[in-house]
Amino acid sequence: MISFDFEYASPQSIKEASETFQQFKRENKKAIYYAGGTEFISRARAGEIKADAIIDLKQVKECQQIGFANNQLVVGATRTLTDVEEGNFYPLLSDVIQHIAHRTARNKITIGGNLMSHLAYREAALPFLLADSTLEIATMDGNVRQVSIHDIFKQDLHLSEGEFIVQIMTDEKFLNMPHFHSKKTKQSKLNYPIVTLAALRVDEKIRVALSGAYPYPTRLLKLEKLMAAASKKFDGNIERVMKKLPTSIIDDMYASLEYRKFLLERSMIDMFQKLERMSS
Amino acid sequence: MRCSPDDLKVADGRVYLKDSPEYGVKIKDLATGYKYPNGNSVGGLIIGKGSHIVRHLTPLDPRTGFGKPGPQWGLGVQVVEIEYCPVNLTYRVLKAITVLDGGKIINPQLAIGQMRGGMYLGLSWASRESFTFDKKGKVLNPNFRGYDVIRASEAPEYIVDFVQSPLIDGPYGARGIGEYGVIGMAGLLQIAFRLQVKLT
Repeated sequence: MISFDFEYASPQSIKEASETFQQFKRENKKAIYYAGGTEFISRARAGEIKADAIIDLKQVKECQQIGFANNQLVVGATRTLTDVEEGNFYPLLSDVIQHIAHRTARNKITIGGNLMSHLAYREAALPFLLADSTLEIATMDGNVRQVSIHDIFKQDLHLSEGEFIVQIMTDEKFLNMPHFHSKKTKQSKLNYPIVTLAALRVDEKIRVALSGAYPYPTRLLKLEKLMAAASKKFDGNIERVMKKLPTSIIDDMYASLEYRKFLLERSMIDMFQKLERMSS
Repeated sequence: MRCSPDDLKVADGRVYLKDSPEYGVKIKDLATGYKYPNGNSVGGLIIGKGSHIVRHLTPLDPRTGFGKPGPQWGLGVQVVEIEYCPVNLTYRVLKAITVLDGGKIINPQLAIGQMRGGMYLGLSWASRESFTFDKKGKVLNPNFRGYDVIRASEAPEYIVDFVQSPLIDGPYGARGIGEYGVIGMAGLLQIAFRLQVKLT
């Protein structure tokens, strides 16, 4: 049961959404943006969050857009993971998404919701980090701004008050590049990742991003630089790779630090074997 | 049947005349009321009532260990087969088998379901179900997102069979078969791991 009352608003446009937010603010009410509801409902039931009002963005046309425009794949933030998975516009994105939660949950969880989750995993961010995607953000005054994912997604996605993600745009040229994806869990396929590795081979260079290993999804830029500069293949020189990784690996009830490291190594080896072999 | 009730016998799924067994009716045709060929029905639903208590049970003597805590010793065999990946150190349970002397098995589907459920429970406990506490004793996995159970898609193939040596003082010769499915699973899983690790 959700133990508090809250108001519900369902604006039809970006402008109306922002105005609604401002209105609640003037009334001194804490409003939060809402899409799939999986996180709001479960966290509100658990007493972890409270709000005076929720603003449901699912009726905002731009947030529901999905498809191609101007050589870009456009994914509206309130599109469900199932929508994106089934559209199969970006195979790596579909692969990653298919392994988030389970089908019933994916029918509700949205792309924007996953990027903004309070959980560490947010695996949907990985393919966008790899493809240098651009986010369109609605601001509190009802305008929109576009920003590179790298400038706004630093461990968390940093939005200012009253802002929400409208859509995510990805250059078409990245969509069908060779890719690799692996998700390791403690036991079941459905559990949170211990290590999720996603990689994309762009112009003979490998880009790598991780979730689950660290308290945030992250692209491994240092490692990518090392790989780009190296003449030899990395398959078989895993110690060198591991040295280049951030050290803040999670140690929790799902997996010890040592086990995470072990699986991280395994995933890296599998990734090199697939993506380096393709280039030879 | 054109006879008095004393002339009837109930056996082998039928009610029939003691002296002329060829005159009889199947119990299944009587259980919810008997229907004549012309559609008329008589009798109505037959409702039975009975009870059984296990005799001569005593608690175990804590000093000597003597006593009779149950009606029988269970006799059975269980098997767990796993597939182990020495590279990723992962495994999958492929098969779980229980063959048990259940005495007379009165309802086979129920008995098989009981054994399957037991094996599921044992494997799920042994492999993943447990609460995790922090240093202050707070449960860290209070919901099914963190408290993992085996899901239907991960269940092994369950194989169940019964030996049926009747328990003389059991109802219709039946033996208790409540928890037997669970018992061996944790130990078997552990043995399977040990064997695999030795082999590889």
